[in-house]
Amino acid sequence: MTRTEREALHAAMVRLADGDRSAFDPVYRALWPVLLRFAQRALGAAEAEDAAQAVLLDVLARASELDPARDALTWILGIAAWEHRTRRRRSRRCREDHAADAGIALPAGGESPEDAALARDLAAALRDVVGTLSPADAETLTLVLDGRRPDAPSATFRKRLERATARLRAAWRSRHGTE
Amino acid sequence: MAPSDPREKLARRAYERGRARLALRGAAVVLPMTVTSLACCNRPAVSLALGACLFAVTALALFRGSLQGRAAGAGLLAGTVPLLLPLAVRWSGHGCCADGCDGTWVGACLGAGLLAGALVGAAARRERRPVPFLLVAGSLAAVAGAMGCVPAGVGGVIAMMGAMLVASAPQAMWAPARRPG
Repeated sequence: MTRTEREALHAAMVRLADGDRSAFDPVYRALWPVLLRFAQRALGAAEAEDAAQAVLLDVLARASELDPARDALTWILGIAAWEHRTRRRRSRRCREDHAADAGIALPAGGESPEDAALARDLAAALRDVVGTLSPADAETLTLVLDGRRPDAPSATFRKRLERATARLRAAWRSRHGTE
Repeated sequence: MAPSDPREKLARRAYERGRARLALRGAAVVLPMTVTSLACCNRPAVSLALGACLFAVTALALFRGSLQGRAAGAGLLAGTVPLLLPLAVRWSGHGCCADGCDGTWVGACLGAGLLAGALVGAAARRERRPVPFLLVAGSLAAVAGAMGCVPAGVGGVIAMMGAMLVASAPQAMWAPARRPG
């Protein structure tokens, strides 16, 4: 989502929060693709549509609670992230119950194959974005991702890491649209 | 035009449900106003009827939102002046008896109506469409004020409403002329 689209969504959400029904259509049209993409990334394609619809209904039911001083998209994605977390937790609990009923032991640490695949996808996406950074930034972040200690003094490394993280965030945002 | 997409239909319904919840929550502020009127005025049936009417109109205005929503807030706020000021007069010892209330009570309703009208008018001047705003806010303020002026009789209520109209209408009427464009 571009900055202009984001600002347009914010303006329409503020109007909708005030009770202006003519802002419903622009909000609905702008919101659905964003929520669907966000859900696909967080939960996978199978569950995405249901989850996105649940978030859409929740956001619109709570539209009047929007604080106009806060960015609407950030508020919406906050609601979406919460909904997705709840769904993941619920489905994990459900799987655990089924596994217990069937006498199957889940892998150690309680991580299911789907969770492991999701984590692998996320790590791959992260490494993809790290690859677009400068070699110095990429090296700094790779050290941290691999859990290795750097040779540089800790204060210098901390500063370098801070800058690299900020650039990673910007790169992630420009590629995936969200943080 | 009704939406053909079932998801959009659901989304619209969710939005309207949210507005209804907000309206009922917002209109709950009328309950303590009605209780105050019941506790201090000697006409419970009138207080209850006015309270119910005020609750319904406030909820409807908040549900509609936009200009009506803003007008509901301004109207209720302004309405608390004529609701509370005559009651303060009563507590200060100028009570009513079987024959009616003394002149102080009617005077208080008149003064409170002027003050409430000034508040509503000032709020209406900030609006792009001051007249509809004034109609909604003024009606709500008048009903809320009537709950406080009930013991003063029809004369007290009319004095309060008249004063409110005198103090608010000119502000709202002149507002568009002062706006550029």
